[in-house]
Amino acid sequence: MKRVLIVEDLPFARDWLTEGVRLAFPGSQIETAPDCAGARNRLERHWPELALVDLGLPDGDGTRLIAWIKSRHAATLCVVASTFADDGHIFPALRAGADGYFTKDQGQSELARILTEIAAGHPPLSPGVARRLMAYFQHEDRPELPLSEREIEVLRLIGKGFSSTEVGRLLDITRNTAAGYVKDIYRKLGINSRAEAALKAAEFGLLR
Amino acid sequence: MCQNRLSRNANHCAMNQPKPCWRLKQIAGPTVEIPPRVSLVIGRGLDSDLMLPDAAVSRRHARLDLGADAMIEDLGGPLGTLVNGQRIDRVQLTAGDLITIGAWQFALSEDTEAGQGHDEITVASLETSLALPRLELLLVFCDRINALEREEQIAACLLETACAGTGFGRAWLLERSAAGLRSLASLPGQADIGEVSRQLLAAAGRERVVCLDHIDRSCASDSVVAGRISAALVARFARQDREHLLYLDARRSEARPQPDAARFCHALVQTAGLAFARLEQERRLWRQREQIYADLHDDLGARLLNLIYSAPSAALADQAREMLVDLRDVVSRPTRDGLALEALLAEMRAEARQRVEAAGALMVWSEPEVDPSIIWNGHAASLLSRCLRELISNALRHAGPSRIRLDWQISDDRLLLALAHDGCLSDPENWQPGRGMGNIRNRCRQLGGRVEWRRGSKLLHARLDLSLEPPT
Repeated sequence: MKRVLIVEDLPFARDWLTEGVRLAFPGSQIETAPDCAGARNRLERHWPELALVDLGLPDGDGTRLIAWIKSRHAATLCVVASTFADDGHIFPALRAGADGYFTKDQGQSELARILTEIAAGHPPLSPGVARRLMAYFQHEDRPELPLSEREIEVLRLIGKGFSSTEVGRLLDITRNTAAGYVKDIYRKLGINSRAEAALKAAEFGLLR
Repeated sequence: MCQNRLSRNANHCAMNQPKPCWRLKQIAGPTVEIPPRVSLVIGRGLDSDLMLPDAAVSRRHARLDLGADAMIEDLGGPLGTLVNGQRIDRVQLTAGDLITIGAWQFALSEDTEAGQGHDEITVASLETSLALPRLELLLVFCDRINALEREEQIAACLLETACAGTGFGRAWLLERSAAGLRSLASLPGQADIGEVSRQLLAAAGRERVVCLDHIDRSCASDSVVAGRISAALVARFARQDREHLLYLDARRSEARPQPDAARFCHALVQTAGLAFARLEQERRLWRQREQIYADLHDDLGARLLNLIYSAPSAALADQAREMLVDLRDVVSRPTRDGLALEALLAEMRAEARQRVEAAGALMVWSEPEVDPSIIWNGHAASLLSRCLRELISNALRHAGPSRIRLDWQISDDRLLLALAHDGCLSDPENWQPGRGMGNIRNRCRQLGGRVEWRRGSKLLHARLDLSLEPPT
């Protein structure tokens, strides 16, 4: 990652994120912004390869910022930095096109590990979010881009609380392959709903 | 019976009687035809002038004379005839008297409006008692609307019940405000709001329930004739600063509305008003609650994060982290619908594994098939996950285990957890306060159960025995 943008209003959290990025991607050029307006300002000059976005920004919500970035520059990896990572907040962000998420209560090295994994195509997935994804894709109104049987199986197991290592073991695949399924599911969700999410972000009650 | 009615009608024509000076109006009971005669024999018999088809009514039950003086005479059956609730033999009647015979009730009024050229709007009598089928409908209605969560559902249920219980064919729920009149719902859907009688609505500004009753073609207004409307009713109720109107009408080809329609509709709108108020109140509480959660989330969350980042030791950072996760449970799980126990176990499993593995230990977790229909409310779910979090914290902090095993079981109506770990063990009896044992005990008690600790030769055991469906 050469260029990274961090959008976070709390100064101490911004510092912590900056350190984590330095650890994960040594030598990267890091820019920070305290709110959506600042972020857009910087984005108009360069597109970063990675954007870490807090959801509750003072002048708007991060979910809409993610939808905005993804609709203009889909190649930018957008990762949600959340206080709680509860599925009620994470799922809308994933619909808006986020490529991953993490909670801000981690140790520095743990954060670096998560960021490296997301960059390598291993997005995290909690049981609550997995269940939401499952419900979303199995809704009868969404026949477009259906999940494959394997993807459904992976979601089901993660929804039961298994780790991707355990899922790999149960399905007799590698951890990498299991993570690849998760990434595909994210992608399908993003494609399915990106335009929709940009328009409707307000509907999800997101938005603190 | 059909033939008999024909012959009676023929009789009326032949006799060409003078018109009565009083008007008899049915208020309760199955609709019957009241012939416009000065002298009426009321009874069950086929030869009665006013036939009340019920075994309890005598064949010749009472005689009613509607000449210059109105008189009624009971003809001596076991059921009797009531006037204004009193059993009578023979009395003189005046306008407003209520005559009750079995299930039927009639009101007497002076016949003064012959030949009027406009629709007759009456303030409906709310004194009439409800017939049993309507009472049952009303009870079912109360039951249903109290379980409904959306305004449209309540409106639909109201209109449906109003039509089913009154015999009116069409129904609207209207809102009247300074901005004008607006249809919130109608049955059938999309019914034209232009067809409601403005005259009747205007009258409904003053009274709770008003009717355009059994409109005769000869004295109906143009709009009523054009709409082929034979009867209409409006019942009014207030909602905060707005006014809502239940508007019903029937066309000429449809059956006549029930005589207790006004009373029934009055009861319906009062009940519906309460249901709307309940929703409004719930919404207000919910908004307030959301605001509190949002504040907790933002303020407390940010401060705990700061504590984590600036903690001088890993142990303190851990404690702040635990508080943050507890806070998440409290603020993120206030869902109205609760959480499936199955999903709660999955969440706890993922969280426990992450923590145990981050501490360099191995976690083994087993759980039975859990009936997906078992739902835990947000509070109970939060209690259990905080219990488990605290148990695992204790193990990691005080014993430094290499392995933690969690076995869940369901037995009858109990949820059981056996947690065992190795490491540097001490006797539970010698544990110092500050391990959160009191908290764990208290939470287990709230979950309808208890917790026990026991030290084995190589393992420390904690055992939770909880109610499978905890009290709300």
